[in-house]
Amino acid sequence: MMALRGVWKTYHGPAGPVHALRGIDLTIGQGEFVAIMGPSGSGKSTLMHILGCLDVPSRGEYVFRGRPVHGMSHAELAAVRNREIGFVFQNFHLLPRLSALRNVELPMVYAGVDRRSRRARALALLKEMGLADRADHLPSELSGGQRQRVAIARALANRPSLILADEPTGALDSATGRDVLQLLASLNREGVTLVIITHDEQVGRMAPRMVRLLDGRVVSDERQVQGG
Amino acid sequence: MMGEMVRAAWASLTAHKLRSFLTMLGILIGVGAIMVIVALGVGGQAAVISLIESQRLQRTIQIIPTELVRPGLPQPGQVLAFVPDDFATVRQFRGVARVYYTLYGEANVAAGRHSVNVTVEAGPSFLPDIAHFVVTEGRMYTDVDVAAHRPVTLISQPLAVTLFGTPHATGRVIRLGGHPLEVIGVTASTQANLLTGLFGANAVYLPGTTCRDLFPWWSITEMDVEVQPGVDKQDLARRIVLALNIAHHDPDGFADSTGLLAGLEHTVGAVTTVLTLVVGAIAGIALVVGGVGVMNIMLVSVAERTQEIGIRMALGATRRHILQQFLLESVIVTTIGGGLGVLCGAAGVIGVRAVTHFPAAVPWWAAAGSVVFSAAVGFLSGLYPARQAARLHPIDAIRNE
Repeated sequence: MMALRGVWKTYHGPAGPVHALRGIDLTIGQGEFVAIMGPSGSGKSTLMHILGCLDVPSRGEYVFRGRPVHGMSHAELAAVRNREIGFVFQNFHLLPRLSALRNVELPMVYAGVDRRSRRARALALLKEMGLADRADHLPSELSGGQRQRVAIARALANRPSLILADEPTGALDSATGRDVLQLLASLNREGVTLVIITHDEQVGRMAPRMVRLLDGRVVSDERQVQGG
Repeated sequence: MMGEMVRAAWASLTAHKLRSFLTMLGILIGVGAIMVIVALGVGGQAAVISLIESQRLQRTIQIIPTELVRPGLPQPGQVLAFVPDDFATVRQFRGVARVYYTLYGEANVAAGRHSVNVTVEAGPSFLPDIAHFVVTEGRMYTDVDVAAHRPVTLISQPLAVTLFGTPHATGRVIRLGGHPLEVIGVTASTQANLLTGLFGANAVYLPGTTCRDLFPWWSITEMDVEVQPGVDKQDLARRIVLALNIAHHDPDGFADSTGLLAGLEHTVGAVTTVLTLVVGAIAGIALVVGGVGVMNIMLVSVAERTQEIGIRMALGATRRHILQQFLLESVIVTTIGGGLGVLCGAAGVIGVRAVTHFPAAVPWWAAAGSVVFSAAVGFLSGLYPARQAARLHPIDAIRNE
């Protein structure tokens, strides 16, 4: 489903070029659950940005569902993010002035879904997340776990093929974090490809496949026996 | 889509109410000023034109000393006055029905303990230079009152209030220059004369004959000639003016004020047009300054909402979506500002009309044009900040915390 071949990402800082990724080769199949791990500075955030079509490789190829992402226009990248990818961020990244319901509606607004259908879909998603009674609450009126579940509902709004979670438990206590991971794993079992970026070994161990990064290179890519 | 974007724009504007209002204020003041200026200009032209029209319609010729309408202040000693022979001369012209004089002056009016100086206008039972003479109470003096030199008078509403504390003064007695006069009516006159009509003046109206008895030393500076039906007014006026000028040995002594006004129409029109343009340009500059304020605030808003922009982009917003969102915000701000400006301008115009008799009016095209122009200012000043927002890179934007 996603294939990176020889992907480099180079930033031009004041102290000369910085190579965040140095030749990444990675293929992720439809329906997989992959944890991408590495210490800070390993390039895992940069990799997530490229996987999520938020950025394009400086060098190399990235093919997403048969379409080459390198060389896409801004509008095409936006369309891929909108229809194919659901993001879950460490700090939730909900829009603070919009209710939970309208946050969930947002991807559908940009997809051009009419108001009635997107309202119905957003309500249904919030209900699935057990937040039916929180639809009109602002993010500031919700707990961390609730906020992350709103973010997951938002990620699912346009029925994406990929969910990209960047440290989804980083801002949560361990019990709530476990719930959120269970929720993501159950979505994976329903067929969505799931990629989690984390530096937390416990989180990584939940995934059937773990990719380790160091200094912009893949240092290990192992499939493991399903853990807890 | 559009509905959602308008809602989003509105939400972010109401999130910073004071800031949005202050941003609007610049536009509001600019548009309000334009409204008032246009209203005064249009009103002034309308007043001049209606004055000329009303004189054309009447079967009256008004003859005045030319000195009164020359540029600059009239030199009192040089203003010719009519003499009794003039009236006899004019009465003999064919086509002339009746000839009157109108007297203007200032005198002291007293009633009880109150005493004020007022303008006095005295003449026939019709007042040719007053466009809308409305008697609100009592009656106007009649030809009989004029013929009998009756000591009767009409006073303006403001004067009635000043003297008696009530606009209902019919039946009371005032002393004009020490002579008692019975108030037979109260008037809310709208003097067509632009200068004296500006303020609701303290004014007294009385029969010309009575006034002549009280103030025999006032010189007569206006002759009103009522013309028989079917007579060429202009031609008759020309011949009368010629005869009077010969009698006074002054080739430019008297003039037909109707004809003078027609010439004045162009002058006043040109002056008000230039004034409207000049002050309008100043107001336009105010709008541009307002636009710069809008641009400044939009840039601040873009900088503050970098993360929001990044999140929206991650969720699938294109650069065009972001551009539209910020443009919409600035257009909404300036359009509302412009709309409020129109309302404030209209309120100001209503205020002008309440205090003065100036027929100021906001024409619909000025109101609509101002709102459209405000929207254009919002579009232009929002363009650069919105482009800045749209060009943000989604990851840089998200990272901004």
